[in-house]
Amino acid sequence: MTGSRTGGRVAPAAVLTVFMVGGLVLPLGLVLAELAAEPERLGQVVGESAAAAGRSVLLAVVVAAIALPPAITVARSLTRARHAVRVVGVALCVLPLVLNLLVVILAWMVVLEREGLVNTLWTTMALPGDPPQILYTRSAAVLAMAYVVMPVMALILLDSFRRIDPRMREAARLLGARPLTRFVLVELGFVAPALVTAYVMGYVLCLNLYLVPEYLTGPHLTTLGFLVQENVIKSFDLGSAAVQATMLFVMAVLPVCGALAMDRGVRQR
Amino acid sequence: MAADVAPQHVLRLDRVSFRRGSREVLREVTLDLRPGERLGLIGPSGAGKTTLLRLLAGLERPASGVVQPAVVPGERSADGIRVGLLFQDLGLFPHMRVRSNVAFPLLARSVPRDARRRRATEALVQAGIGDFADRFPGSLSGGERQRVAIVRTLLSEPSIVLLDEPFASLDPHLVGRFAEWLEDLRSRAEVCMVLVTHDVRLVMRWADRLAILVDGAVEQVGSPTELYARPRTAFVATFLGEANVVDAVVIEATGAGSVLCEVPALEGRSVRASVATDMAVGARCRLVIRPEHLAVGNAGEPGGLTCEVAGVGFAGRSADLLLTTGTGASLRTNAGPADLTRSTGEKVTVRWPPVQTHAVAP
Repeated sequence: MTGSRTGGRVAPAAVLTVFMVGGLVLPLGLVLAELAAEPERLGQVVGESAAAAGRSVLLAVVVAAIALPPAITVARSLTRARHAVRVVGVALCVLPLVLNLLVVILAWMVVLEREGLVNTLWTTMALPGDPPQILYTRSAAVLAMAYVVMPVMALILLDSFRRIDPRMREAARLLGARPLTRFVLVELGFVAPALVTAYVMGYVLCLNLYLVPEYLTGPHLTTLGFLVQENVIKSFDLGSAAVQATMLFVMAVLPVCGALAMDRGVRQR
Repeated sequence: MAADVAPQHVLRLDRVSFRRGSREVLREVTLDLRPGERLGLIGPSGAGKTTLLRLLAGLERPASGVVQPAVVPGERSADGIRVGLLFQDLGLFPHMRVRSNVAFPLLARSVPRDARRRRATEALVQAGIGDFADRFPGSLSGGERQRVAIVRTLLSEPSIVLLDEPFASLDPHLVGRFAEWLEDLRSRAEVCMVLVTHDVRLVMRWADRLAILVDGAVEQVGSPTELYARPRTAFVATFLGEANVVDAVVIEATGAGSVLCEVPALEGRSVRASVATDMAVGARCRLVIRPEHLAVGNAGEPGGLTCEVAGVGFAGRSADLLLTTGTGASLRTNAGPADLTRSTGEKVTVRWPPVQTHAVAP
């Protein structure tokens, strides 16, 4: 009995392990092992990719930070909304995920270009000064990436906000706390683990949105993901691509491990 | 004379009604809270007790009627009244340690960090739960969480504390000790306390006054002794304790707070009973006789009503006898331990003192 139950739990894990090792870790490992035989080459690839890696991390950190406040606002509003409104809101949050990334990029080009929506509105509303030039600046990439990751972050936060006991809010009110204190200490305090998860998820997703800065900003914001693509598709330099992919993997996994450690600490309460 | 003098009150509900959707949850409730008093609010489930507490705390607005002074949650009124409410599920913040939970009302009043930490620790120590300061609420038992929540409420310096079922999550053997602890805290804080509970026996010992709420309306307010001895309705009588309630007809109204009734269930005997409100001759009423006021004797004793024992139950220091009268009516008694030897079918005699019999409207 026990053996079959254990077997039932182990089998899916084993399949997953084989899938991960066979599909990702094994080829990466083989290429890296080949490169390890040439340590100078390994060091050279890491050195050449360091600037792009730094840009990737910085961009992901900034975009996730910018997307977090609107994600909190959306999640909190959906929590308090009626059921039908919440369903529509969740559907709208899922929409950017199912859209092809190139479509999203094209849409933002239409919005931000010289004759685009922003500039047209600026002119129509007779706002002072010239319309801002956003396309092909860092702001364009940040805006579009935040647009993609914000709904995911909101969906992660939604469940946690829904688990806030309304009595807790009322208790804080009865104890004399002002609305901002209630929001920050009681609500955000309660959903803090989900905030960390949402932020890390936003950060990790940003690492993989390498096409957005490339098309909406330009080569001065090339990220590590784009270099991997170039090495695989154009240069066929699989060794360099493997090193860069491993760097990306480490950049993504480290914050996840940190978040898991924090989550474990919270659960031990 | 004394009844004409309006008692001083800290908060007053004047003909307050409250609706939730199409349902009228509270109907024309008039109730005052007096300084430093212990008011027990009892009634069956769904009577509107929690809603009444929420109105008193200012969390709900009445559909009609007035709450004086107007209460704004978390704020002190112009009269200096601040209301604290302890929810049934406590509303502790699970992500904060006990000390931070308790210090929260101080933080809300912008008390400096060191001062609020010191005061929170002192309050926990004074309440005998200083050891919990660094723990999270999730690691405490139900009773421990209750204590933390009460200490936190008291640190908000309320003039009135409303407690919604504070004993609900406690093991029965802990309720008495918890009530003592609560009373000790209350007397030191000198606050008016309103307690909603289903534990009628406990609240009768604890409260200065009781208010019984039925179907959103106050059925009766008074001291526990008054309500127990002179209930206004049969419901109040049976809610506060076991009672024999039998139908009767008034045959003589003396006008001095008593009536003479004919009781068909007691073989048509005439029984003198006290009344809270005047009753006319010929009016139908119900007589309330507490089981402990019925005296059981051996069969054939003069002046008593002959009954047959229908059941004997062991109730610790007493025996519960279920008796059947000659007309088939049932009577319950709390007899002495000697009556445990009575057997089913045995004939006994029952008597009751007139001063302990009370007539209520049907």
